Amino acid sequence: MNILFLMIPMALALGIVFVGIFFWAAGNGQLDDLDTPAHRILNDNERHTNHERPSHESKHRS
Amino acid sequence: MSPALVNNEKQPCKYCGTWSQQSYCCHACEVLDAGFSELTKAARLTDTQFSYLDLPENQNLYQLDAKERRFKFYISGIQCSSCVHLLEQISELNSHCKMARLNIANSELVIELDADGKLSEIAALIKAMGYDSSIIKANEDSYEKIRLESRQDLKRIATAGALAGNIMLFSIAIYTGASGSLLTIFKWLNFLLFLPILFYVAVPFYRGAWASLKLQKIHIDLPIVIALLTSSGLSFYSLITGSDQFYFDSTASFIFLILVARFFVKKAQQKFLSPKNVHSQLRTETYVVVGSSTSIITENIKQGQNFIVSQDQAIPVDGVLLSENALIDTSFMSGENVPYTFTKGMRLFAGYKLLSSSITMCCELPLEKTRIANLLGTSQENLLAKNSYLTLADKLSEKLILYVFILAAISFIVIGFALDFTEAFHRTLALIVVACPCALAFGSPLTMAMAFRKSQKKGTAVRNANVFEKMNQIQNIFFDKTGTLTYGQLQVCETWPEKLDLNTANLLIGLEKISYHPVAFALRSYFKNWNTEISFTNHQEIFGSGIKAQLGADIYELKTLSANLFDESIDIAVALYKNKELICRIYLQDKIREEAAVIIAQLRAQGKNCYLITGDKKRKALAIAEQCGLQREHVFAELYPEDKKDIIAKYPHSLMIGDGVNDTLAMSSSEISVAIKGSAEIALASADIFFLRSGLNPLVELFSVNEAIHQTLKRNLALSLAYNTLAGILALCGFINPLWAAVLMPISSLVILFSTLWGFRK
Amino acid sequence: MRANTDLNAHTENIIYDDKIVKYFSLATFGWGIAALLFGLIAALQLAYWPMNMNMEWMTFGRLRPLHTNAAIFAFAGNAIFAGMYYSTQRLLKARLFSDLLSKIHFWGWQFVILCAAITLPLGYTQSKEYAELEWPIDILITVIWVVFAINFFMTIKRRREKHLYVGIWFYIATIITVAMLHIVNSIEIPITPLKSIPVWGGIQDALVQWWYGHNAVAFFLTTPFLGLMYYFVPKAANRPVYSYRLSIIHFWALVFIYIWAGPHHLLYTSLPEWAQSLGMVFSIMLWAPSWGGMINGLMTLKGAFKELIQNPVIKFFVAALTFYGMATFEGPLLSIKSISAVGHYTDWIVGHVHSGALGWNGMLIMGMMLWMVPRLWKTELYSVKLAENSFWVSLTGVLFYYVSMTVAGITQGLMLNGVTAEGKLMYPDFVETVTKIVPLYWVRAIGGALFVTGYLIFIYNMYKTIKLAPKDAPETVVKVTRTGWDEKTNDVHRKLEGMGLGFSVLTFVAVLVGSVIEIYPTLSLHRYVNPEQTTEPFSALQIAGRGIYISEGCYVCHSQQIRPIVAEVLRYGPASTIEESMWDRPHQWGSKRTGPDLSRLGKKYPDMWHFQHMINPRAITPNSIMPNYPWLVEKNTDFLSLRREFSVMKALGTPYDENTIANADIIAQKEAKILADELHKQGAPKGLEKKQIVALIAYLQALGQKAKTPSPTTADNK
Repeated sequence: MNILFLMIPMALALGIVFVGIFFWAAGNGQLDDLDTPAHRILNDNERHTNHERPSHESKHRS
Repeated sequence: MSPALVNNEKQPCKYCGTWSQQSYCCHACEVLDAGFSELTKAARLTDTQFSYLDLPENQNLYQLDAKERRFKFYISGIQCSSCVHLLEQISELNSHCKMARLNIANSELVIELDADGKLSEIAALIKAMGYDSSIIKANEDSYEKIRLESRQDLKRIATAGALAGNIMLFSIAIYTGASGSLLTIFKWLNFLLFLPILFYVAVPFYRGAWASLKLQKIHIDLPIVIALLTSSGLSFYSLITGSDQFYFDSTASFIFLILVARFFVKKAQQKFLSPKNVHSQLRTETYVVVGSSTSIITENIKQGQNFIVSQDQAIPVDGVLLSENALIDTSFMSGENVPYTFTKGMRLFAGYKLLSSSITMCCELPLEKTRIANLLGTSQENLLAKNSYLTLADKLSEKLILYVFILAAISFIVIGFALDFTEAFHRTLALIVVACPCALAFGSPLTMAMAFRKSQKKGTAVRNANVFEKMNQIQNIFFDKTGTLTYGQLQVCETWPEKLDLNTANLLIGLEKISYHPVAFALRSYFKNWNTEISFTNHQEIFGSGIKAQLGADIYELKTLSANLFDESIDIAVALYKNKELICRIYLQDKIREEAAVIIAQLRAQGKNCYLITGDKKRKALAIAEQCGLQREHVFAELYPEDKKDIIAKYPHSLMIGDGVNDTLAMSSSEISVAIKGSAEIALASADIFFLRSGLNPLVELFSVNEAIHQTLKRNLALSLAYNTLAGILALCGFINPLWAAVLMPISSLVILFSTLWGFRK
Repeated sequence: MRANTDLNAHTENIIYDDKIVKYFSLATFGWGIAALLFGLIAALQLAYWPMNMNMEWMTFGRLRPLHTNAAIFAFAGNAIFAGMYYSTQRLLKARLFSDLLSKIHFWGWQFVILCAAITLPLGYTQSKEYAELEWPIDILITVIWVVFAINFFMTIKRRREKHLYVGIWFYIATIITVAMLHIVNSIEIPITPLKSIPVWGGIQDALVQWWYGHNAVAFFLTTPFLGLMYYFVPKAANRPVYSYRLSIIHFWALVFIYIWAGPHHLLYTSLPEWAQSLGMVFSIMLWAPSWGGMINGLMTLKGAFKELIQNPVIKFFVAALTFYGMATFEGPLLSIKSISAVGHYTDWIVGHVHSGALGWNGMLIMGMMLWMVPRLWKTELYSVKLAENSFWVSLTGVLFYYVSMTVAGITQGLMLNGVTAEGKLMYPDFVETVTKIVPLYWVRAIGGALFVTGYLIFIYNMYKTIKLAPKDAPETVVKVTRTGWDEKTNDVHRKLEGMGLGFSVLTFVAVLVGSVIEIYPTLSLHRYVNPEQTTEPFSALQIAGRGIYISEGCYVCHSQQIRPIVAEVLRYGPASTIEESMWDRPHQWGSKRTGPDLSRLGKKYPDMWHFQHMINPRAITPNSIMPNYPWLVEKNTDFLSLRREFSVMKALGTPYDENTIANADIIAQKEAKILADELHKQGAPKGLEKKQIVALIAYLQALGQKAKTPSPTTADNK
């Protein structure tokens, strides 16, 4: 089972990396507001720049 | 295939496609759909209404950050994603706005301006977008601190979670029979993984424990720390000696659980401070300085400055009336809801409300010196003076610790002599480990978090957990009269003759047309649906007495009757005369909330004493008391705020519920202060609890939630005690090995979790 | 990115790089057809063996890896890249970092697929599931992936929107983890330009392989698709995700648990008890976050479900999420030992996998494309009707497939494990259990055909939609503002912050490399096998035969791992031990038994039996569905690479003496001669010594014959 000597450090390393990333995220304020982002993605400015808005046509016409 | 055809009553919003009844789901969508043309125009225009925002002296009042010009608005009426989008477009529309960021949960909009950006422009733009906004003062902005704090908490939680997970991983491996070199490696890995928990994650617990030691007041953190240190010590000891007493996994996971539970409580408490609760109930009043077009806010008004107060506004500072006369509602200060007429040169106190059309007044005392300010000052002091309570959990854990340690000591000696001392040492430590009041430590915060959520749902905002702790000792409940037991506005209650004909109604409405007197409002709402306008000639309001006007040759008068002509349940009565001869009489009163009687009955049924405490006339107070089913001896009337305070101070375990400025002092002196919806700013500021739904019903809800809390806490306690005793016995008999602990620990936590959820199921 | 006059200081106009998204979308469509057709043919082959048209590169053993690779890396892969590049640019408000890197990424990836499509049918394979591609392609993949990573992380660094949407987080996890998995699982030593030997042998190889195999599913077919789901479902439904909080928790929980669930693929193998239980526990723990995600996705439609479901795009998403829920529920279930005892090695697993691949991945891809393509080409969907049809047809397809395979799997599993009261096998003849489920293979084939039809309708719809596109539509210029940096806005900080991610990735790679170097020596020592049970390594000819066994993909249908279950011990002999496969590079444990286990096949039948069986299995077992391998008699064995192969194996610790290594090829040919003559005596044609059949038979006859002590005990766990 020596392979574990490789897999365990690796999985731990991965874990550490992800914890590290989490720390960055928290410190950076990524987790401050966990409501608005969900709304923010729904409006990208593309609509205003090209006037026909595919989203509705493709949804509402047939 | 178009969904619109499939479903008739609902249709997709023309802009964002959200399904709703209208063709646009919200105003924002309409604006966005129209394109920005109007808005770009709007972006340029400024509005004198907002010019106060640009006053240099106000900048540091609003600016959140020392370096950046960052400001925060509370926006009301945010509905959907389009609102987010629209408001964040501000940075595109206004060339001086560097950044516009909305937080939909708090309805806060953060704005960053460059050097020559104008707040007034932003405010105007927001208005043009169709939202009411009120700027948040830097000192009111509690959010920043909270944010940084919760970042730290999240880091700790994440670390605990990740580590606990990996520790559990290796522990499972150990329990399911890893052996040889791997076993040793796993043990040491567990140890290494545990170190961060010991030295980083658990720090808050150490702080708590240390504090509690310094104050010599047992706090739940103390037993947690003891258990933590014992278990890790024991585990480390067995790591070296090669025995198999490993509690890394159980300890790690209970630390994690407790952290999570506490995080929830924090979040729930922070809801209380969120602008949704506070700001949604206030609005920034602005006044125009005489002889200038700039508007100012209360803080700006200087001594000797003349300024205009417009109708329905509150009098911002103590000062002298310069206009001929003014109709003033003093109820917030006095508790009387019949307005007074003030004439030129009389003193107006901050907190009064102007009913008649706009007046000019001169400031004598700027805000900080006003009577309100003093009231507020003292009430705040009282607020601090209220000793922070020892939570139930702490009281219990205090006992538990004693009991555990005595038990431990005894068993150590007994087993020591019976068997041998190393064995005794092991078992005793095991006892201490498993006897950690984890259930309490994890259960009580969870219960509180649930309680907060519950009470929020039921329409009450609660300042902190202590309030709940105090709730169930409450014996005496003091009600303010006007606006609390009553609706706080006059309504027509009876007329003479019984039935008024259409013509009379029209006459009355016509007469009252120009009046801002509450009677006028009462009549308008009373005749709402059956009047046609009659226009009189030389219409005049005679302050204090009534209204006089001409219709053709006839002179009509509407006069207030003197109080001795009707019984005390009536607040005011008016009579209509045509050429001096009586046509009709109308009696008005400030009606009692229909739920009042019921609620008081319920409270009294629960064995609580209810009192009425008001600044209003004795006889009125008594009349009200009678209708609400309060005993006569429980009525205190004709009091100044200071007197109220003294009275309540005499009663232990008191709860004061009110709405007015005049109540704040009393509220602050009571153990728990409740402000009902639509209370004065100050009342809100000093309240422990305030209602988000109008009326008194939330009060009962509050007590029921409180009931649930204590039931749950008791059940949790019983369960955890049972668990601890069981585990303790097992430990002493030497049956407790890490596997047992690892199994029992999560089970007990789960039990507590379910018991808590069960407690708040309704 | 170009400045524009009507903008103020803080906003700028940018153009998203949608060209590359279009490329990847088109690639998805094309490879999708290929992958599905391969699958369909393979399915038909199991129902009707001659479907391989007697072509060696069409036989199931080679076609199935081609199918899986095409499905995972070509179809799903391209779709992932398309969706990722589309959503990432919009979520970060930034054009992709470098058009050049994007192009390299695209063409590089297509080239990889092309290589796969050529090498796999030709029988160049490492025989590691989902990692069959040989070493040069492995290296190429690594390079392309790094290019992709750079392109992606630099885009993150250049973003204008501070907040990283949850979707982005799933992408990040994907990129980092897949890189690690790929590197670790393909540490191999080349022996010829298209042949290599993994450094791990036997159980180690198996463990790494399934640690990879599981996480390939986790981080190539789950996390990226969840990322896409969190972007495209809200967009298509035009409502925010049900709970953003939950989505964040979902992400972190998944990230921390998934990596450990690997061992459940090796339940009942000679993997130590505790490692198996570990895999089991963590697989079961996975259930919670997975369902959290599914519920979150479905609840997004809450309130307007009735209206939204009218929209075919939403239909696809709902179906996808439901299948995700099913698969993530069934997965943990299958990893419970008692259930695994029945399900493992059977078609139940195949059904499970396809409910995920077709139901979750396929449906999600189609839904995503239906929504995205009209926007990309600035037009409207050609026909909602067709979209509807493609949905219902493919949905029926998946259901047919899933049900038939689950039934087939359970049936066969129970039959194989059936033991009578007297302790005898209920169905001693393996082929009985096969003939029993052949009808279900037909049903499965029909299901597959239906899905292909549905997909083709979808493709036609896409084609017409793209045809509708205005020829000279101007590229969409998007007005963006840099938002969200609510503290320390200065550039220095931004740089550092951008580094943040890159840095963590680097540290990780460093740690990885470090541990590999550090750990490697310990790996070659087989400290865990107990000395008195070690086995003899294969002889030269047997190794040559083993090469043929691998390249014909025998492992696809035949396992070499007997589980400690009564029925299996009765059927195949004593349970496999770690030692028996200790020299196997790569391991041949296998994961599916369309035919019986072979680990103790050696000396069970005479050489001639094997000869006839390979030429025409039905000559020996009437109802066998195994294809004929006539070309084994024509094609010559490659003896030349043997020396190199032996020296490498020696280096990796297999005990061969210098002489064997030096003359491997000669020794092999000697052995071949003897065996060939033997066969000739028994009636086979003359002069077979150079032919592959001889080598193969030599290997088959050696299986299970190498143990020094005849009675090996079950796995110890040192």
